Amino acid sequence: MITLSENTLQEIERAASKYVDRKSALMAALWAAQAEFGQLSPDVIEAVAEVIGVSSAHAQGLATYHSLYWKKPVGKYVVMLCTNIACTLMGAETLLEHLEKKLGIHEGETTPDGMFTLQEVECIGSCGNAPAMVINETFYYDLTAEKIDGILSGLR
Amino acid sequence: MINIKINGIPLSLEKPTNIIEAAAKVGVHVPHFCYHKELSIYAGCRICMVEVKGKPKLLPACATAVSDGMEIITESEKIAKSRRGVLELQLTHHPLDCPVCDKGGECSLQDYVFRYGADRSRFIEKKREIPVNYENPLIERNMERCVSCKRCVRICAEVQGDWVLSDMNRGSRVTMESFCGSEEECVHCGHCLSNCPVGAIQSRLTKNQVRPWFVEREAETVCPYCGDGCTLYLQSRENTILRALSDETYTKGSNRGSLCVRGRFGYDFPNNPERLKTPLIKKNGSFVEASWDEAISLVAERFGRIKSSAGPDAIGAVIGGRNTNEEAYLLQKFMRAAVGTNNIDNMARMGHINALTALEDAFGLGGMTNQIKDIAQSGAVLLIGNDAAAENPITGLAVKRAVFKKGAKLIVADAGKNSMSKHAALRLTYKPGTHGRLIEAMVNVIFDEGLQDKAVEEKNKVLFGRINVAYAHNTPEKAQETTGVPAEDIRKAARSFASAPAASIVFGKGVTASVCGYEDSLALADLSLITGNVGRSGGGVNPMAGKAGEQGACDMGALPDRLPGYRKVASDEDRKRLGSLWKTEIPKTAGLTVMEMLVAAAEGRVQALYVVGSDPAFELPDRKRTADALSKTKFLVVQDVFMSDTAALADVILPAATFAEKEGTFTNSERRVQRIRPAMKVLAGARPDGEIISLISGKMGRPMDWEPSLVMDKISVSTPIYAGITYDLLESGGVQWPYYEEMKSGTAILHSQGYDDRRAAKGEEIAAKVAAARSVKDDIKEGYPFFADIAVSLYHSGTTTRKSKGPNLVVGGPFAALNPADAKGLGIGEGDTVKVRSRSGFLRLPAKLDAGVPQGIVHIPNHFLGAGCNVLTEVILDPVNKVPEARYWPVSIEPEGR
Repeated sequence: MITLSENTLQEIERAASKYVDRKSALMAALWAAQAEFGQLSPDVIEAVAEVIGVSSAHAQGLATYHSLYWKKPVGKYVVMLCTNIACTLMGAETLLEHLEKKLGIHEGETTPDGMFTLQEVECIGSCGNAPAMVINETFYYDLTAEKIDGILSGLR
Repeated sequence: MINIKINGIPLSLEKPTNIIEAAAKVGVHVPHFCYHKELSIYAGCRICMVEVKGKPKLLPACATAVSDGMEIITESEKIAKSRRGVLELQLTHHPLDCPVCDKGGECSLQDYVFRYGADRSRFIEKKREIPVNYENPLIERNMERCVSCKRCVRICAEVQGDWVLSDMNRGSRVTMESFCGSEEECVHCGHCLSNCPVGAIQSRLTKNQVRPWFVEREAETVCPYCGDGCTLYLQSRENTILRALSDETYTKGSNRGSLCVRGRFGYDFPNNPERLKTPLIKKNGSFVEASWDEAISLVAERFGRIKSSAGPDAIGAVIGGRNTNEEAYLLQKFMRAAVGTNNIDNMARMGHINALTALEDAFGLGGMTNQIKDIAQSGAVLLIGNDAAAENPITGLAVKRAVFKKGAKLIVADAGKNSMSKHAALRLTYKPGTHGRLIEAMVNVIFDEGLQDKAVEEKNKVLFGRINVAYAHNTPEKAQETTGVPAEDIRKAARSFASAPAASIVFGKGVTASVCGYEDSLALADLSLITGNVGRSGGGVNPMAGKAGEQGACDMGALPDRLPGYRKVASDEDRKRLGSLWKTEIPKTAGLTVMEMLVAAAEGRVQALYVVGSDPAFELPDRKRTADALSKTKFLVVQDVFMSDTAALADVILPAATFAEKEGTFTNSERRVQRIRPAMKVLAGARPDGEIISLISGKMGRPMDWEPSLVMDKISVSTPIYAGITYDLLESGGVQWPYYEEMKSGTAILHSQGYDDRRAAKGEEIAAKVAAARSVKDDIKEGYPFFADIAVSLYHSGTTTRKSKGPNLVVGGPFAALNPADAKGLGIGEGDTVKVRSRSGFLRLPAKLDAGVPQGIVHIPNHFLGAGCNVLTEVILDPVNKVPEARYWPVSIEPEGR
């Protein structure tokens, strides 16, 4: 079994201290472990379940429910492009093609250098500034192909 | 009063409930998948939608409470349309493979589609394909058929407390799965499959073998394995048991709908082809088939001859834990009235008897004080020397329920592996054999800190004073030295136990099957007494019987010093009373216990032994000595359903019937007398035990009725605690003795009106004898650094489970489980062969690494042919009841590599 770092354990305990029942901190704990390992592989989930005091199956059920918990390895940057109705109307599909070409991967894949993972996502609540995307925890609005090129090269 | 109308039918309710339950009361079934009365409300399947007058939209019947004046319609075109919609959505991915699905004919989805139409979905997308999960040897999961009701997930979490299943992924991709699909954590209770409304989770044992319309016969009966005595339904066809089912109403018996792996999957041994089908007589060293007449005549003739040449006391009988009350009663009556001896004993001698006599001495009546479901009301539970989740899993469920639902503090005290530990607030690991010191120290702390129940103390000043003095010497610090449990933990345990509003004690062979079993059971009684927990709901002292028939055999007087109902052989009055009923004179001298019978057999004092439904050569300590004694017996009769180690030594083998073929009653640990009923005809060639005993008795000039309901009528006259109990009364659910005819009720909790301390003033004398026995045990530790924990596996119960297919698919052979740290120290890896050696013998077993096994312990399930732990043990008896030390034995471990 994997051991969580001291840092992550502290993070988990900090989250757990906010709740009457420490089991309530499961989501935060998974998030902290994902920050450390980059993904929630079964052994990471098992380690978190042990620390929080729930069954591994319960933790896995939660981890597989939420789409922002990565169950597979992802790149350093996860590019999540919204292709929901408003963004599509504003040209998101062309942007997706552009991103695929630019990164040389298909949707759902990761670049060989491990820098970028490209994902199509549902509404991210930014319809007013469509088309929009999220990279890790940063939002980018009113996208064009040129703007995307600039953002990506800024990250490289 | 809540007055409502359901489909125009008026209904008055005292307590609020949901619409599904209310409708059921007037015979209206509201379709549902996700609702289950034992579970939290999920309201996820949306098929129970009903109309409520005045509400604009349909409401879910499961999640809507009825209120006064409500008018509910459960069937209308509007509702049918909504249900068709739900069904159509279900069928977007359901494979519609009813022809090969075992659920056909009893499937909710099939029934509702049949009722509402919508037999296909308009979606044209490809149906999802999910491979069937076959990781589990007993249970398969076919998630293509799943309706996402999550009943399996919730029953596993909320009732079983195991949380093995969870809903993985989301939306149309959701599946009910275990962690990574593995079965490591599963205890195979099968509650998920009995709860699945469709064919998504099914038994692999009955795959493509059972259709509900194949069933010819269904019997409500009692599981034959442990002392929990669970209500079980057996379905059969053409004299073959098809499957075992649990009670769907969740109301009956001690288990209320739950079963463990043994009950649900261990049902097929009655149909095992290895069953004994004809009487066998040993001639010139080998068995020859014989007719019943021949065999019975021979037995009667030889018993008669030995009786007249060497006296009645040269004959002895033992009955095991698989026989019914009626059979135990007949056997002891046969021995006392037809043979004329008190040499009758039963296998409760392996431990349980210590608890019963101790509780009788402490409170006036020997028996589990409370009932199994009552344990769930406890605020604290001391589980000591009993792995409830493995040995008596339904009691284990009650303990878990106390923890989950009542927030009870669970104190698990055990020397060995205990699978309840993960639910424990406090785990105390004592050195084998020192549990007495631990209990005494807890009592000491309670008096020291003034935590005893003051109101009870006021009424029992003398008794409290005596107990206080008796335990004053054993401080927690002193106990720490002997037990190895930190003094602070002992204090914590004592405080949580004493401060809970009600605290119960659950214990088993870890306490009773030792030289100090009687003494330590008394200490537990004292602990309960001083904290005011005797006679209190959620409290009490609760010993666990190992086998289904153990408690009953004791109740029936299959004991050398007790008559039916624990009347004493030593009492002239008791003997006279029974003698006048039986129209005979009951022999005056107490008989021999099974251990003493074997000594007497080896010495030639006992010349004939009649062994019914047990296997002493496997079950009793010191295999060699036991086998020698049995071989030396001039005439050994074994009556059983399978060939056994003991039967192999017999002169005559009489083939008996299993629990699935006969009428009778079992009394479980909680004193509940329950009926068993035949699910099949008696196997051709075999006979029910009662009939066999009566045939022999008749041949010896003492005919006895053996028809079980008539025997029960006799029992109710001769056994005071069973007075008034008849088969009619036991029709459903059973009765807990003592039964009070005038009140028409059994007794759920003993001693609620007070108790009668009958302890003889020989405490010190007993203590000295126990100390002597203990020092004999200490002597054999030299050079043997480990203790073998001779354990009961969840997957087996004695030896009949090894003839059942299901349990063997999970645990099919013996092993020696070691703590990984110990294994590392000895250079032992998983699967390596180890030699577990004691002073008297050794076993070669594959090693298993298990962090749940405390260091210094090697855990060996004692069920398997050729791996009986009695090759390791010797005979050391407890001085009070002659119970052999049989749970922990000093051994060494030698690695032998792969």
